[in-house]
Amino acid sequence: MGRRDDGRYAEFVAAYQHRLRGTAYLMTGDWATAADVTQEALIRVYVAWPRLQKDGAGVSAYAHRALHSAVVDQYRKNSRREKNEDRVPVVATVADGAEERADRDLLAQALRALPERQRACVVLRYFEDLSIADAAAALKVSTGTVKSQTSHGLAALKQELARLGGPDLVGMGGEA
Amino acid sequence: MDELRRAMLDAGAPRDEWQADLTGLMAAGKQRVRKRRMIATGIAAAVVTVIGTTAALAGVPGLNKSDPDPVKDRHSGVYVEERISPAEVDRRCNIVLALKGMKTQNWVAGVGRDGRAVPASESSRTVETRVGSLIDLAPEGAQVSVSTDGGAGGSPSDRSAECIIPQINMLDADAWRGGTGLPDLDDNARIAEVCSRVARYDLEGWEVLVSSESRTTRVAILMSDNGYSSVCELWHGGGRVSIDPQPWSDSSGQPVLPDADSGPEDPDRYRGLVPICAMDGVGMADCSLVAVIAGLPDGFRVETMLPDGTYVGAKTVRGAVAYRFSARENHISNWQFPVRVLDSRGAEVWSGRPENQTQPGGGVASSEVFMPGPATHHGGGKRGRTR
Repeated sequence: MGRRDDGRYAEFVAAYQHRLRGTAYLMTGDWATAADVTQEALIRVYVAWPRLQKDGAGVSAYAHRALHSAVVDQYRKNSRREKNEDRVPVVATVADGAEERADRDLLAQALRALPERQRACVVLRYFEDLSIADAAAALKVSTGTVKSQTSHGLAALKQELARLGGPDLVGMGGEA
Repeated sequence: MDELRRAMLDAGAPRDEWQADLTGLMAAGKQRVRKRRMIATGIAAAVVTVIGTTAALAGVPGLNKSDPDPVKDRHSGVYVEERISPAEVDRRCNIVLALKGMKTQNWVAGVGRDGRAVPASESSRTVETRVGSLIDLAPEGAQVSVSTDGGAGGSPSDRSAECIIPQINMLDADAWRGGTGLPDLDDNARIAEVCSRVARYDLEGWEVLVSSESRTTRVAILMSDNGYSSVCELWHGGGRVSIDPQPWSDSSGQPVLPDADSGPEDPDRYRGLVPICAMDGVGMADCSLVAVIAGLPDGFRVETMLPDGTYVGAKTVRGAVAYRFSARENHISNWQFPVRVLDSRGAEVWSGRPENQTQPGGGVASSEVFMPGPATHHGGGKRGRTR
């Protein structure tokens, strides 16, 4: 024994890779960056795999933590460039009749305008469908922080979508 | 909020066929684990003796970014089932067949209701889409089977081509570049490399368990870290590889045994353990027994009795065994090639006369090239296939 269970890890990667990349995309706004960040998170999961298996700890929760951490690292790496990009107003256009595509691009764009923590909370809660407790575990913050950050994030998202001329997806509901 | 959730799912849904590079992930992961171990070793050394500190850290190869990985780490030893779309099956196989000089046709893997070859995406029958599977294709429009609706009918076409559905990054692999010969029997790395190139499926991280040779061929059984096997046969300028879709061991490394298995003496383990022979056209046959027998300990021996009463065989490695022998063609049809299994001390644990693989015309299955030998698997299912 003592061998790393690569088979199980491979199954985990097959099952979670797209979900993680989707999360990463919504957090970073760029598919290529999302792929890099997902790969990085999955490497971190691989390194921790024996411990995760031994402890029976939630692998997916760890993967979310690793992903968020990798995203934050990516932000730090690109902080100068991102600051510049944030100042450039990007208006989504409805090209070649692809209205649906424009809507989802708008949402991704609007998410980018949110502060990092708020964006992570909104994505984990509404894309990953994590509970408040699970989102708190993934972000290593308190449940109260998740609630408040999600609430602020939704308000900011609503405002940003309106500014971009997008649909009102947020409605009047708040974070419970 | 449901609307937001739907929009988020849509926005985050994949829009391409991106797949995480599993091989790269595990190689990078292993490298980091090694680095951590090296660093830990270095720190431990520093604690134990101050004098040793400098030497310990200076000699840590993992700390040097340019320190290359061992070659094996670039190849995955783990089999992960990958399925692709039927259209992609046709596309990849056409690329492979074109590289083999068979580009005058549009090769398709599907069969229409009238029994004619159609694109896999339009097939009325299920098309195999597992990467690594050996499939048959035919020129589009060719009659490949009798109509299922009693219509057109006709003779099955013999204009078919085999294709092992390739991995996307192995499409342009060339097994025989530079006119190199067959790998030496003791060169496992080269065997795995050539098998990978023949299959256009990366098997270089797999372990070559056993191999055997005749004058013109090599045959090997490779096994992945997670218990999947591949039988690879190579001959000058060609080859054939099959990857078993079922594992021989479970996630804890324990063998997957037939139902109600009672140990090495259980005859169910050996059902279908049959040598397969290929006639050479001048009165002799080249026979082989290539099999994996789940649960058979290392060092057991599988042997075939020849018509003169002598035995030929080989030892098992993780249940795999492979050996070849020659026989007279006239023996093939009337000698049943009894097989026996001996434990590591030479005591017989099983013997029997397996049912030979007979073709409709009688006699042992034969073809221009031999087919991998069948063996017991998951309650006796046969492996390999015959033409």
